[in-house]
Amino acid sequence: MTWAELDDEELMRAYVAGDAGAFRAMFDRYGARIHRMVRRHVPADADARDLVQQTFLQLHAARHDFRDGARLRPWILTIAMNLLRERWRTGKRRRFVPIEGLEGLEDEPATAARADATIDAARRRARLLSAIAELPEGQREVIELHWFQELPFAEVAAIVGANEGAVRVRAHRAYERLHGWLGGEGER
Amino acid sequence: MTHDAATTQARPEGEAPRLDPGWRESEADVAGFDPAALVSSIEAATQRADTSMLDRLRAGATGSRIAWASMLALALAFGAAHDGAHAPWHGRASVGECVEILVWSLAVVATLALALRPLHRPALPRGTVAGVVAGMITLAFVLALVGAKDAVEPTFGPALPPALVGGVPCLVYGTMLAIPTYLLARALDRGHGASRWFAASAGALVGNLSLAMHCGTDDVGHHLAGHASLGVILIACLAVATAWERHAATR
Repeated sequence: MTWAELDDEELMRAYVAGDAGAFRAMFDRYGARIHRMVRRHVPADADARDLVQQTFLQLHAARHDFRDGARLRPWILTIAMNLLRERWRTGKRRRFVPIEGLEGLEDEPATAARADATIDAARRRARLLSAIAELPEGQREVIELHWFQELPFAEVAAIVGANEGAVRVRAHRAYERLHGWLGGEGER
Repeated sequence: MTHDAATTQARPEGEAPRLDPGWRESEADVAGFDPAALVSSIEAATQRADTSMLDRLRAGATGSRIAWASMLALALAFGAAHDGAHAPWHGRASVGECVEILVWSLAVVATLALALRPLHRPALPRGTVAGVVAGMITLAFVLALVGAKDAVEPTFGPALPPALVGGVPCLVYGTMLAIPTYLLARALDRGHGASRWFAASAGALVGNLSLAMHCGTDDVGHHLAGHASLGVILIACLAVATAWERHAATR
């Protein structure tokens, strides 16, 4: 049986039992996802890599706490979210989103159309992430888990340690705020 | 696409607007991600971990970490007060004092359990952390007032300065127990953000527990100045250190 045939929990159990190969398989499943998640909220690549590394080191350190019936996805996302929240609280959160790598594109006629599309997408993206960075911490984490990670409210609630109703309220307020900020900006 | 188009998706009446799914992913989010290099460095780090006895204790199940920390912290408190004026094993403690010692001991275990909360469980809200720490400080003041035998009057007015000065040795004694307890909790902790506050609270509780058995003074002012203030001083020092650390991190 290959690693790909095992589900998340079987992989984790194999790792707890001492099979080091299962760790790499878990990284293959969750490494890029967690990197994307943290990269949206920290200003530097190095910080994002550090948070991914810390998440998997914590997964390793906590492996003997993994019990039958536990699910890996909320486990690892809770670790990542806790580490990210700590980063926010120490002031290392994304307060502005630089548009990198676009210098000179507008000056090349052959790529003008592609450049326009790329610049538009990058600016749009920068405005979205800057708006999310302005949300209160509780709303920001709900948006990350519910909208970006596409998790159901019940799982979001388990990860952030709140009841589902409270998470729905936070999400509603956050979506309303983003709508107001981004929609208003678009009308200008 | 305008922002309006991105945020005004068709939606059921009363539900908040969602964002355009096309905005979810970006090449920028995966830039700089080299999975092969990263997983290799993580695997190397995991191999370096778990080499010392402390590493192995830290990697143990949370229940066993709490048991170890509680056992060592209580051993420290009871060991330091082995010949104390109110040590229960010498028959020198009243029933009330034994209850007080039991309350302190339970508070130590509960606070250490919070300090060693694993990172795969949701972080406690900041209000809860502040409430628990404030509760532990309040407990010290309540027990100082309840446990002291003397009347309140002698320690106010002209008698107050001597009570404060007399409290200094107990404050030093409590600090000498609180610091190793704090370091023990931090050593067994796996990096939860609120851990430092609970570890400092546990340190203050261990200091107060030992003082409850060790100190023969029954004066209320002495208990307030020399025992109960320990938690306030430790938390204040930690708050200053945390603020300085965060200021340095954001510079």
